[in-house]
Amino acid sequence: MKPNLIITISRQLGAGGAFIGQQVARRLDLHYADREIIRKAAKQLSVREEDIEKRDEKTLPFWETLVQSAGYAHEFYVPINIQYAPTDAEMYAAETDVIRKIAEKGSAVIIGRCGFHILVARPNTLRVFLHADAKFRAERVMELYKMNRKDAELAVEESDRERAKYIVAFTGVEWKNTTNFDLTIDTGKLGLENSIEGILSFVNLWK
Amino acid sequence: MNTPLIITISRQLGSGGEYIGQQLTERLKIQYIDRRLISEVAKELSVPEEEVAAREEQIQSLWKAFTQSCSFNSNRDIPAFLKYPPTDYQLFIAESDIIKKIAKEGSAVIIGRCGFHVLEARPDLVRIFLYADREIRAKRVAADYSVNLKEASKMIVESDRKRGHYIEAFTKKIWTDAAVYDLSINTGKLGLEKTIDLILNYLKELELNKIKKENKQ
Repeated sequence: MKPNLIITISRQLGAGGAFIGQQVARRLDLHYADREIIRKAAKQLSVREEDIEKRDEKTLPFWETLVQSAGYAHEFYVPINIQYAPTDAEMYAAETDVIRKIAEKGSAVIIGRCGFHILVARPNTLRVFLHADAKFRAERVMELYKMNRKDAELAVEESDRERAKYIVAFTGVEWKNTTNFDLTIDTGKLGLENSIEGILSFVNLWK
Repeated sequence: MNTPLIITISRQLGSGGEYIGQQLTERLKIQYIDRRLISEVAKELSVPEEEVAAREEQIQSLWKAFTQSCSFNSNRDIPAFLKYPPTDYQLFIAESDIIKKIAKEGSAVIIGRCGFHVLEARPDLVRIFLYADREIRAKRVAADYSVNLKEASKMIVESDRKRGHYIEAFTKKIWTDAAVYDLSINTGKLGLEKTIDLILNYLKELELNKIKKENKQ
């Protein structure tokens, strides 16, 4: 295994990214960073984790962005809970900072939050993208979040839209473009357990 | 491998896709489809082989395609020179037919020619995309085609543009979209030999997953 190996895992909702990431981290004895990123970013911005949690990897609606920018703020009624919300850019900056610090410390598996882009120039970084067809993902979402099929399908669709928008806004690259990554796997086709083996195979071959 | 295995390899120029495809066919003992495909297409369309190779994966200028489609649609007397070469669309259809025919015959590795799209309905299909950073590809292209690095870089930019357009025009899919492939690998990171090993490991895992699924049922 490469010294100070970082594996960034970008994933579509329901493609098994968190499960696969945890297992890869466990098998390789690497630090696993997922919710930790938001928690630390929230701390940096002095806001409560819950307040930014629902905004994770999403962009704010247009009008809220307007409200936030100082020049327009006085012309709008500003609900209390939004008044203190950090802007998307502030959140992205804080998350970037957290991810860089994690990567400086040494080996880790980092889930989402544009890790693939933030660490693009870092040596010994394996950038993975996990995807699957909408049907496979909706079925996993139904099971994981106890949703009915229709809601799960909507959640998958909305998440795809939001993440694509968020990622292009902050990185300038298309989310699903293979060339952003070193390895992309259709986890629906390969299965989650075997996808873990696929990633481990890359790590073992990469000398 | 007991069941037929069709592997399509889509690749960027200079990423080593052809070499990897050839090595895979040797290691898996299955047939490699590349030149053969072109020559069969050429026969079907009765144009000289070199001409098809030169036109491969390129979209003709809109004007030319327009003139030709007009002349093919009307069954009147058309000057002979207008009939050939075939339009890109005719070539695409002919190639698709050939790919489907070959895939029916048994296991194969098929390089390029929108194989990932043409065969997408096959359940045993494995769609692979191979790519690498521009600098690495330029070095390989410079060596393979005996050109300098600057020319190689130009060839790469031009090839990416043409392949991207061609594939989008005929498949309505984006060439570099991870979601249209089962596996994609940056060959620059692992090197060609290790990429072959990774693909072979992937195929083993795929087989294991299939057995697992069958046992569940």
